[in-house]
Amino acid sequence: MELNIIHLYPDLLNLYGDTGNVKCLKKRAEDRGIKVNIYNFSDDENKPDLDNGDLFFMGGGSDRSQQLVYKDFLKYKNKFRELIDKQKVVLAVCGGYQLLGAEYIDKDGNELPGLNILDYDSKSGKGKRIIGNIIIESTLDITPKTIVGFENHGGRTYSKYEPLGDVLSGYGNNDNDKKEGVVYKNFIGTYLHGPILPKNPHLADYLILKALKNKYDIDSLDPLDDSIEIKAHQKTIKLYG
Amino acid sequence: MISKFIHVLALKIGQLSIPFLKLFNKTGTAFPGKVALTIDNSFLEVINEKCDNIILITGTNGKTTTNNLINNVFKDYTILSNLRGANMIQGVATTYVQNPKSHYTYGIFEVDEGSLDKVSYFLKPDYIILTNFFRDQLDRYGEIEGIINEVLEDIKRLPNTKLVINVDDPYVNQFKYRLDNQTISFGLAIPSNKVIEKNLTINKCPLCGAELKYLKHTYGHLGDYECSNCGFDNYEKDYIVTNVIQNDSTQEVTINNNNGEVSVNYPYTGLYNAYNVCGVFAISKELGMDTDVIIDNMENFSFSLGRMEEFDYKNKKIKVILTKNPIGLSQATRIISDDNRKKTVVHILNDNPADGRDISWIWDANTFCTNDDSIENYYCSGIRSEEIALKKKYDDVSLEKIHIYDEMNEAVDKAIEDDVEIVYVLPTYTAVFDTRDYISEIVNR
Repeated sequence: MELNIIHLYPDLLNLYGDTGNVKCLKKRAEDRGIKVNIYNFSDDENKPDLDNGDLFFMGGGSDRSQQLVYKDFLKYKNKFRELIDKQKVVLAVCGGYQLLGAEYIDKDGNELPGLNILDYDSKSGKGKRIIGNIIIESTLDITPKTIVGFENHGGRTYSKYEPLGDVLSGYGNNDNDKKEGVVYKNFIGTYLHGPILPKNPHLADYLILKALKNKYDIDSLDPLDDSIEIKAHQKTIKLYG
Repeated sequence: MISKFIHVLALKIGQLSIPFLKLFNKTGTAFPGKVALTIDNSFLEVINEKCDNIILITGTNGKTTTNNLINNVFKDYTILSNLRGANMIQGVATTYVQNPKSHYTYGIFEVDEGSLDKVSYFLKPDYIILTNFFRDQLDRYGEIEGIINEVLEDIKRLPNTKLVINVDDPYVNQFKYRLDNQTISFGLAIPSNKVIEKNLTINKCPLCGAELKYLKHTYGHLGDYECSNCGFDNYEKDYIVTNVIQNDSTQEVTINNNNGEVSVNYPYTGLYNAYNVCGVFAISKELGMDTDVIIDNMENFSFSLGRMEEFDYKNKKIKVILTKNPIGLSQATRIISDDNRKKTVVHILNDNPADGRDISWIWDANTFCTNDDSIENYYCSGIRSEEIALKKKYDDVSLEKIHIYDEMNEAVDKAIEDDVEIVYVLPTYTAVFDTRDYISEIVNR
């Protein structure tokens, strides 16, 4: 078996260690004997074919970088929406999450047009930047139900999609509804850094399994030794739950 | 008489807390003082009485280095000082609880900007050194202008205190204009970066609000500037760095004042250190110290405190490297991987506010080259011990080599028993003092 991971703009969207998510997907697939190819999709001529991707990851970057990505990815937005509708697996974190929506904000609070691939909005927050550890209870069919991470965002996101989870501790999408992230088919958008996947291995496996289901109609994964992962996950809950 | 009795009582009870802290393997740079202040809220009066001269250092950056450097210049005198940077009122009180003497020539303390009101209420400083004000503490204190105004108000109550100020910082320089205190000014006048980074400068004159024009730029918002409206500028300085030559691991700083010109071969690099050197030279001269002694003691200054500090233990070395950001951790990793000796590594990862609450920075460090055979074990410790362990797993370190011990001393105890030549200990900021204290204790047993 073989999985193709397309890392969207790794050189431009590279803040807060979120590249660790790609390492995590790769490692957890390889540890089960699945061959993994990583393709970088960036602001240049050598773009991989998006149709070949099984898993997509997009992180966040500086305002300038996000502007470059916006301009470059506009050409691919219809294609990408089509792939999402065809159940392709996508994880977008923080700036990447905002950028794929209808509007997003820069660090000064200016609202800029997003790629409008998905129908949610990020608005400038009136209050302070939201910074801190966060624990949510996921809406996904995963065990444990908790997802832990760290949020650091000025914008507030409002969406009609199913959230990734209900906030147990922290803020999440905005100041009001106590929801975090969005889930649409196999697209997941979230504010959680950490990076999110290594210490939430059940979420990483959820994504890998969805990709394998699409490609090979596989319904389960071999278990791995997750003793360190579980300790890291539980420590976050113990400290900040 | 009664207040004297309470001072003594507070001291004694504060001292009683020290063995308890040791019992829990905590040295506590602030706790004994906190105990003393709980019993006697005017406890700092004792320090005020016992010190002939009091010097306070405040500002955003450079406080700990400035304090340690002054202490080194005056090392032949009896000094009371918070060298480890515990700079709130409890930290200042702790210095005396831990080291009570009948008399000190100098009391030299770094003081957090937010604690200056309380500390200077009791300690009547002869001098206050103002290093700089940067925007990095907004989380703690709100807007920077608010903090500066508080410091201004604090100093207004101290008309006899002389101010040693870094006038290259407009925020600091305004003190000279707004207060009647005697000021001694210092700054740089070297050919420097003329390309002015707009976002780093202060656009408006702190006195009148008109446009502030920069002519030179050293770093951050420090440089040469003038206000076209009210005449606010920093052209006159009492102590001026006229030249800086940066070498690999040292820098030659030339300082000019009305007594002539001197050159210091300072053992640490960085332009921010040229400011530290100049400020310390200024206060030392003002206090009447001999120029040759100042230069000698600046040149032999060693600011170890867990920054590449090495210890001998039995037949092995222990090396402590403070790692508080991705660049530091990557460099420490490089040092370790370049060392061919048999070794073991202790990571101590805390997420206290001073470390940064977000520990995802460890994923931005390049630590991949540490999965080689010459490394016996990784002991992962600190509040977020599991997170660094998980990172090591992703660095392809085999699981048998990764051990998690929440307590730093337990991790160090295990590591020093490994059959290796050197133990590398990499603590984050809030772990570094306890860690090096614990290691000092072990090696001195």
